[in-house]
Amino acid sequence: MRFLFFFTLMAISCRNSNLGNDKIFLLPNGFPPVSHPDSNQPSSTGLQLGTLLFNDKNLSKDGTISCASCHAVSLAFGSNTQFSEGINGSIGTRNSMPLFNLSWGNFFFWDGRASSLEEQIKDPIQSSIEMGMTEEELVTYIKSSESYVSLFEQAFPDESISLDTTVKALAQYVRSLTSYTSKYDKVKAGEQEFTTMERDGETLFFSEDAECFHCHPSPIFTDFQMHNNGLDSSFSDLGYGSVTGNMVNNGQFKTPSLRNLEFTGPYMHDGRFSTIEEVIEFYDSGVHYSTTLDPLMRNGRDLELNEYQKAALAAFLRTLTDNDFISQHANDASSALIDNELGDK
Amino acid sequence: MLKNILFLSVALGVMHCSSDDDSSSVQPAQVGVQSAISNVNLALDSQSYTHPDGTSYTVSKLSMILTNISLVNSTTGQTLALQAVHCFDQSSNNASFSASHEDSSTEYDTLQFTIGIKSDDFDKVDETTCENMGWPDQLGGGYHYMKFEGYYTPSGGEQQSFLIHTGPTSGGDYTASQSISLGGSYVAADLRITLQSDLNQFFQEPNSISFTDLPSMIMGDASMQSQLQANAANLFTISSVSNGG
Repeated sequence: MRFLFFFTLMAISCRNSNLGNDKIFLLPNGFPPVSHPDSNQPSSTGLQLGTLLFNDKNLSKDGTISCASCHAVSLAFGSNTQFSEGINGSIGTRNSMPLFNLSWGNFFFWDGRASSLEEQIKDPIQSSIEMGMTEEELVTYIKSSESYVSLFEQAFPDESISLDTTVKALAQYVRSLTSYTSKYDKVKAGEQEFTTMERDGETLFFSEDAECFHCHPSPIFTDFQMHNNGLDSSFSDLGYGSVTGNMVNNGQFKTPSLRNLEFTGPYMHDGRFSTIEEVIEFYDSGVHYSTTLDPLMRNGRDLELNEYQKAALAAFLRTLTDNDFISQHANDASSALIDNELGDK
Repeated sequence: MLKNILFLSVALGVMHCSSDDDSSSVQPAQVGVQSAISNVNLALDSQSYTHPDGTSYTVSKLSMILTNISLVNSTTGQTLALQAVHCFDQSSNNASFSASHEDSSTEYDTLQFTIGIKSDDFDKVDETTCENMGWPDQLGGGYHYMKFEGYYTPSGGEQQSFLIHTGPTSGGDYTASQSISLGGSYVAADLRITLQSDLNQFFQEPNSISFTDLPSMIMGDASMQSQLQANAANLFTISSVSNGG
């Protein structure tokens, strides 16, 4: 079995040389340009390495958890459970964020505590309730694989195998996860048409009546900023406030993208809402006032949407579902086979 | 052979001189934009300010687009474009910009610019520096001119938020142009100008606007956009100007 895994690694490694950099990180129309960090410019080998690492359960201390365990491709690289399970059955306290269109963000994690993707990725690898690996354990494991060693040498010829280079490869993969082929995109490209209800929902979404668009602007449907959207009047989880230590940030969390909502529930940082309809009800009449409630929430006023408007809004939001994105990545890293082999630690 | 060497030498010499000419660029002009309220520098979330009607308030967000920033010689009418579109966000430390140019001798006495952006300039927007400034197509399309948000506490009341978003309501032009004397004549080379706003201008002259006057749907309110446009006409002053440090 191990031979089969290494054979697969070698096959992918060889395939790398045929991939040009211009064939990865394609920019969708209307999306802002991607700015890769100077210290982590993408390469086809780096991308392939990141893909393998993302799906490798041996990156966790007990060999049970890969990045893909909490960020499943079929769920737009998110999770359908309220809180995800890490090593030794540990349960997290926040919902797993879906991973796509992250090239443009300046805040990572629900509480915005990481300012780069590379910084973000280090956290779950080392977290005692997620993957729980020390850098020494990580490097020892990677160096035990000749194929991994070869890929690291190709991807980072001037750097050693380390936690830093591991997260660089993973970041290259995550930056490549770009969702931009939903029905919404096809309508904007003139390839499809909205139904009447979807169009009415779009009109409402981009109006001041519903006021969705300020935090969720097109085309990415997130402003990547931190907001208190009124989930609570007092906070058991301070969110960004716990990062800055400034009470004006209490209750603020990162705005998630609304793309692929059909895959990414449950919703909010604590996964408190199970359905899109519950989320709409919350914004319609369930917003709680607090002193840090974002000005965009208009002091928590009810939206007073009627039932048709709520249904139209939900219909529009479902046009942001990107099945092509899921299909495109379904076979990344020959996932099932490699997962099984690497899980046999 | 000698002819060829001579030709090559001359050609290299010409190329060398040409290269020297290209590298003798004029020092760029530097324009800094400072936001303040009644001469107190803006500090997001932490500093309390006083509205002209006496209400205390804090500011949580300020982002703005200035366009067609130019130097003008008011006698000859000669202009020098410094920046087509300048977006800044108080939280991003990107308020200043440097403008390269080749004008080393003309003297200018006026700075002119527009608060907001007209449709002719939409294609000049750099989305990476004008993040989240889009104005929905459903409300006329284009870009916000400004986002100015914060909190105030009415007398004897509970803290409330305010939100002032200006822009092209229904496709209209609510931009405000300013032309400010530099108080003397300056060449553009190494010119350093600091523009300073007084955000309280949005609430006074010619239109007095209290926080409670602000409609809940300001982006679609052409009347309020017009009032804010008029008040913005005196938003900025020049706090310093010099040639060189």
